Amino acid sequence: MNQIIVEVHSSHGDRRPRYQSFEKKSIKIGRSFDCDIILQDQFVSKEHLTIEATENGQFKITDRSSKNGTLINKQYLKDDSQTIVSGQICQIGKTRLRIYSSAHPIEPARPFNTGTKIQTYFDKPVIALLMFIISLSSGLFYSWIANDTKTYMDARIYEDAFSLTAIIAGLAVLCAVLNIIIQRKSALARQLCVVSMIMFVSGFWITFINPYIYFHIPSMEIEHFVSAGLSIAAFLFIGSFVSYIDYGHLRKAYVFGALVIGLFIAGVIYTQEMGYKTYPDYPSTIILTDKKMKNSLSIDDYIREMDNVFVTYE
Amino acid sequence: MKKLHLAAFYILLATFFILPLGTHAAVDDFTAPASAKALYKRLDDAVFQIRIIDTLANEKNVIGSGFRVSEQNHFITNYHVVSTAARNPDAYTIEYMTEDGRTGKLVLLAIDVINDLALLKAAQPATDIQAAKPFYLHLAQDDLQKGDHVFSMGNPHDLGMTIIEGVYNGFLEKTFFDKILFSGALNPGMSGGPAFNAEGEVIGVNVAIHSDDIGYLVPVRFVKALIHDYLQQDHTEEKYPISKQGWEESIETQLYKTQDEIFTKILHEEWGTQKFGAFQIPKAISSAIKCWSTNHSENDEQHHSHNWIRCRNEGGIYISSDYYTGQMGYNIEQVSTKRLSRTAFAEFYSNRVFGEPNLYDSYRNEKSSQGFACKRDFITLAAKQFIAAFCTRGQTKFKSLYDTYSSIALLNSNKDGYRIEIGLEAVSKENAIRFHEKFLKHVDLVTLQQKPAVTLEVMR
Repeated sequence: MNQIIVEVHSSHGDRRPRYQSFEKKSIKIGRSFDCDIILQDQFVSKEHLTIEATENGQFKITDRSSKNGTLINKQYLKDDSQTIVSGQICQIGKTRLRIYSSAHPIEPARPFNTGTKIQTYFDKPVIALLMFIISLSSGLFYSWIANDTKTYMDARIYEDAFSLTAIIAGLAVLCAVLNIIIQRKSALARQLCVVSMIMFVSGFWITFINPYIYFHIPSMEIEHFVSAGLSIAAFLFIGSFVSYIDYGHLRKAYVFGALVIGLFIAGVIYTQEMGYKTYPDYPSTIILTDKKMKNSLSIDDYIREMDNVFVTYE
Repeated sequence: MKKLHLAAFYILLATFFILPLGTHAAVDDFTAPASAKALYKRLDDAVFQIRIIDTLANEKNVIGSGFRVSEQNHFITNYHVVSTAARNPDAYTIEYMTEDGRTGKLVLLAIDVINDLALLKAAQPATDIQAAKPFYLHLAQDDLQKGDHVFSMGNPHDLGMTIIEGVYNGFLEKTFFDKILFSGALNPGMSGGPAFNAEGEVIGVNVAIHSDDIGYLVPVRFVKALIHDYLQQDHTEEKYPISKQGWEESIETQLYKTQDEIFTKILHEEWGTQKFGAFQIPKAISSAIKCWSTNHSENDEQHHSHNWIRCRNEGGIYISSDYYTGQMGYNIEQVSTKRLSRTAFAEFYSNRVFGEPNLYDSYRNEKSSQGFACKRDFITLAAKQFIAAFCTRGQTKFKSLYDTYSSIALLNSNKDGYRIEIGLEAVSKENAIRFHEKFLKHVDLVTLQQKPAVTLEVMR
C-alpha cells in the first residue's frame, strides 16, 4: 500500500514542519473540514488540491480550481495537474508542502554527544558563508602583509600564515559551496566544514591570538601558563574533535587526544634537553606593548636584584 | 689570537684558525743572513722541542718549543703547549727533545695563564745533555726600538729546529693582555720558542699568529716575573707533579686577579658619552675595548634601517682547547622601520632582540661551563621602559667566576627599537654587577640642551 507523507510548513506559528501520514490512494487539502489536511491559511481555497499516489512512487498533483493556484518549484501548474517525485515542494497560499513516499531515502542518525550543538551550528549555510568571508578577508590581509615583507627572511612567518590561510580559505569555499548547494545532505560537507573551521581557529590562534597573549600578559610565568594551557587545549580540540563529532568513536578520540598531548609533552621535554648551548636560552617574546608595565624596576632595584641570578653550582 | 701548538686532536681547530701547512713551506728556503747563522749555532743548544706524551700510548700528543733559562735546567714554554699535561697530570707527561733526538723528562713548576707562560725544570736523573754547566739563554734587560731586527727559534710542524728573522714592532696597543708585535713568519709548533735580539738575549716568547707574517710574542718581563715569583715562594713542601686541582686553583687565582685589575681600571676611568639616535650612551669605556659601527638604511631590499656600535676587547685567555675566555664587549643597536606594520615590526624586533647573541664566540662545553641562568625584568631606564634579560653562566671549575650576558631592549615603540647587549667573560659577581650599574647609569635620553656627561663615582 502506498503511503503519502506530507511535511507541512505553516505560514505562521510553529517554524518546525508537521508531518501527516496517510494510507490512502489520494488525499484532499484545503480549508474545509472535510479535507484530509486542514490548513489555516486564508490564501488557501476550501478545497485547494488533491494528491494522488501513482504506481511508480510518484504523485499526481491536481489543482481543484483554487483561487490563488498551486506552485511546484516556484512555478504555477501549467495544466490542472502535474506529476512530481518524492521530496518535491509544492506551495499553496503561504503554506509549503513537501510530499514524500514511504520509500524516500532517510539519512542515518547522527551520533548524539557534546559536539552535536557545534556541528549543527555549522550546518547553517549562513555560518558557512560567514566563515568563507572571514577566511577570505584574513587571506587577503595576510597577502597584504606578505607583499609588504616577502623579500626578507623575517617575513617567513607571514608567508607560512599566508599559505595556511590559503588552505583554510579553499576549504571554506568548498564547505560553503557544498553546504549551500547540496543543502547539508552530505556528511562529507559537514566534515570538511568542521576541519576547515578547526584549521581556521588554530591558524587564527597562532597568528592573532598568541601574539596578543604576549602583548598583554607581561609576566613571564603567567605567559607560560596561559600559552601552555592554550596550546594543550588547542591540541585536545584538534586531536579529538573530528572523530569525536562525526563518528562518535569516543575511545578513539581519547586515544588520539592523549597521543597528541603525549607528543606535545615529548616535544617540550626534547626542547628542554636540547643539550649544551653556548648562548642563553632566554624566553623569546614580542616586546611591543601599549601598556605601561606595572612591575617596572628602577635601575638601582634592577642592579640589586641581579645578585639573585648568580647561581653557584655544586 | 691563534695558538701555535700542534696537537693531534687540535688539527681540526687548527684548520680553522691557522693557515694550511703548505703555505709555509717557504720557511725551509729561508736564507738567513750571516748573523742568523751565527746565532743559530750559538743558541741551538738551549732551544728544544717540548712534547706532551700520552702515557698510555707513549706517543706525543702536543708539540711546541721551549728554551733553557738557567744553569739549574729551568725551561720556559707556553702554557698552552703544556695545558693538556697541567689539566690532566696522570695521563700526560712533559718531555724535551734535542735536535739530535735525545729526550728528557720535565716537571711543570709554575704557570701564567694570562700571559700564556709555563716554567719547567728537568727531572732527575740528569741525562747526558745536562752537562755540568748547561748552556742557557739570557733574558734581555734593554727595550728594543721599532724596526730592530729580532730572531725567533722553534720547531714548526715538527719539521726540525729553525731560526727565522723578523722585525720588532713594539707593544701591541689597546689590549688588556700585553704582547709584542713581531713581523715574521711564525708557524704552528714554534709556540714557546724564544725570540731574541742580535746579541742573543731573549726578548719574548713566541705565542700566537695574527695572520701571515704577523705574530705575537709574550714580553720577556712576564718571563722574569714568573721566574721571580716562583723563586720567591717556598716550595719545599710541594709535591711534583702538582695535581690537577692544584693547577686549577692556580688558574682560578690568576683569572680572578686579572679580571679584578681590569675591572678596577675600567670602573675608575671616567667614561664619556656619545649620541646614538635618541639616546646618549657610554663612549670609550677603555682603550682596550675597540668599537666599530655600521649603518644600513631602509630600502627596497630591506624593510628596516639598522645602526649599530660593537665594542670588544682583543685577545683572550687560553685555558684549554675547549675553553677560551677573557673576552668582554657590548653592542648597541637601533632598528627602525617606516614600512612594517606594528605587528610585523614587533615580530621582527623581538626575533632580533631575543635571537642568538652576537657576543660570545668562545669555545665552551658542558665540562667547562654551566648553562645560562636568566632573569627577565622590565626596567625604567632614561625615563623609558625597557625589557632586560640578564643571564649568568657559572664556571664548572672556577666557581668564583662567571660569564654574564645581558640584553636590554626598548619597549612601547612601534617603529623604532633600541637594544643594548653586554657580554662579560670570567668576571666576578661584584665586578659584573658594578660594570652593569655604571654602564646603565651612562645611558640617558638626549635632551635638546646637551647637558654635560654625568658619570657616577663607583665606590670601592
